[in-house]
Amino acid sequence: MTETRKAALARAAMGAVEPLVELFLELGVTSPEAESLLRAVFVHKARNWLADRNEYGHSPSDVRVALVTGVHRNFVRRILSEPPRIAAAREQRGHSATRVLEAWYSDPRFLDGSGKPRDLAERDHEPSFYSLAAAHVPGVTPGVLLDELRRAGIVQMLTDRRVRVRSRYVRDQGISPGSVGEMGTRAAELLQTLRHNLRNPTARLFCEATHLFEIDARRLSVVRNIINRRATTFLTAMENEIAIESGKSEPGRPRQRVKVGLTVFQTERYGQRK
Amino acid sequence: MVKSKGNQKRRVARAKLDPQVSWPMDSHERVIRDTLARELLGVCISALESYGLNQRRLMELAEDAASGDRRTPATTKALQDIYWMGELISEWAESADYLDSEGRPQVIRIKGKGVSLTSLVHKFFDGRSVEEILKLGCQTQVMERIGHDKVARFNSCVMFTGNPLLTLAHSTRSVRRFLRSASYNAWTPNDPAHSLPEQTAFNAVPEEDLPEFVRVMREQISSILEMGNRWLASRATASRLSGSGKKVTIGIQAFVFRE
Repeated sequence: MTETRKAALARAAMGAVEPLVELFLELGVTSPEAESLLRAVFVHKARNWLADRNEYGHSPSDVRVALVTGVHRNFVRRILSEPPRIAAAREQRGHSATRVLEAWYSDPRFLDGSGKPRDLAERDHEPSFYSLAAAHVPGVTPGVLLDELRRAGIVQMLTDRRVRVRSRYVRDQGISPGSVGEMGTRAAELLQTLRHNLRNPTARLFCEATHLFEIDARRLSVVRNIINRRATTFLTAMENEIAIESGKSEPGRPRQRVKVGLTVFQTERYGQRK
Repeated sequence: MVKSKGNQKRRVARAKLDPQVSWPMDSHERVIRDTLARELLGVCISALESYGLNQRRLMELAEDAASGDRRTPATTKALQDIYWMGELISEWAESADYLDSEGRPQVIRIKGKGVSLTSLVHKFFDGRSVEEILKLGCQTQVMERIGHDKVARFNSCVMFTGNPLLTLAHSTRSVRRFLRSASYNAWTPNDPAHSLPEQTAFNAVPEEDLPEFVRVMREQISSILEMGNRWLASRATASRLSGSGKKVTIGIQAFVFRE
């Protein structure tokens, strides 16, 4: 590849890095710190990339990694001696929180007519959060569990002592090592799919988007709610269908497994005021 | 050769106006048709028997139906309140004033001006008491009382469960709609662009799988109907504003069955 073409392609790929730079600015990560982080990831990734291409799966030497990455072999050795400094994937929270959320999304007593989790009274009348917790995590004090879910931003307290669930899964809220790690995983999945499609135009993975529509900003909450409902329903349907496939395999044949999933995300761009 | 749309439309209209012309083709088809018609009547009779009607009364009603005026459906009257309740909860879920910061219907006051149940009742059930409509809303599981003075929207669809009269009226309307769609398709040329979509999926599975299937399908059905409802509501609003010509009721209905 010519130097000019390489530079043009690298410039074109910069668009993918810009949101990451914005996050670094927000976190107070300086440019040299970000560069050292990128270098560490680069070196670790290069080692894995070279090992994948080795016929016998052998790890490449530090010199070989140094040649490919352009990083001095002494730095390569130092960088490879510790894990890449990317936050670990999201940490698993309490088992009881997961169980109560699972029940809120599946127990018919706590669903509305369309199969969605309904807002619950905290304890005053049925169906209540206290009865949900008592039924599905009997050893746990409902008030303590509710406090934990509220602090994590998973449930929202409404007026009149009512509780609304906001997410089916326990995940870190705000900027934390766990949530940034999850962002990294999501971004990596998207980039891997896009890279696959660039390299394999005849065997593309699904990656499509709707048109961008301009709407009145005052209707944004309505549209967000519609997207949330439709996409959740769609993902549930896909989970059901892929789960059926995951149980199938031909007996007697060597089994190579592939992890398959689907991610849906929403985009919003603010335009000029009119 | 490219066929013109106008010709096709005329053919569909002619077939619908005069379906008897070319069918049944022969005595064999006539026998099958009569057997199927008898089966359909049998299905209707046994369904009506489950609402407490005996054979004799059914025969009297059948005679009445065959000779009477079939253009004014009794179901319209029986389901009128349900129709307006559907409009009321749609307004509650669509109007920005009635939504919270996440775009969901907020808990509202029962009485008072502005955002309240009283305002909604005044708009959709003019002249009726708020308490009466609140009671109907709770019975049909679209709303629930919060404390003494507030009410929450609980469901996006009106439920007939436990109300045999409304269920019978709803069943009658559903059967009529299904038969009209089937009849439309029966006389429409074999062209997907002109037929009304109608599909079925079924299989024999253990009885204990039913609740799981219901759970899976409820969410999907609800989502597709909600989408259809939004589409239709936006077109209905646009046509009201433009005052454009002849109106026709179109829609989609879906249900899980167990035989």
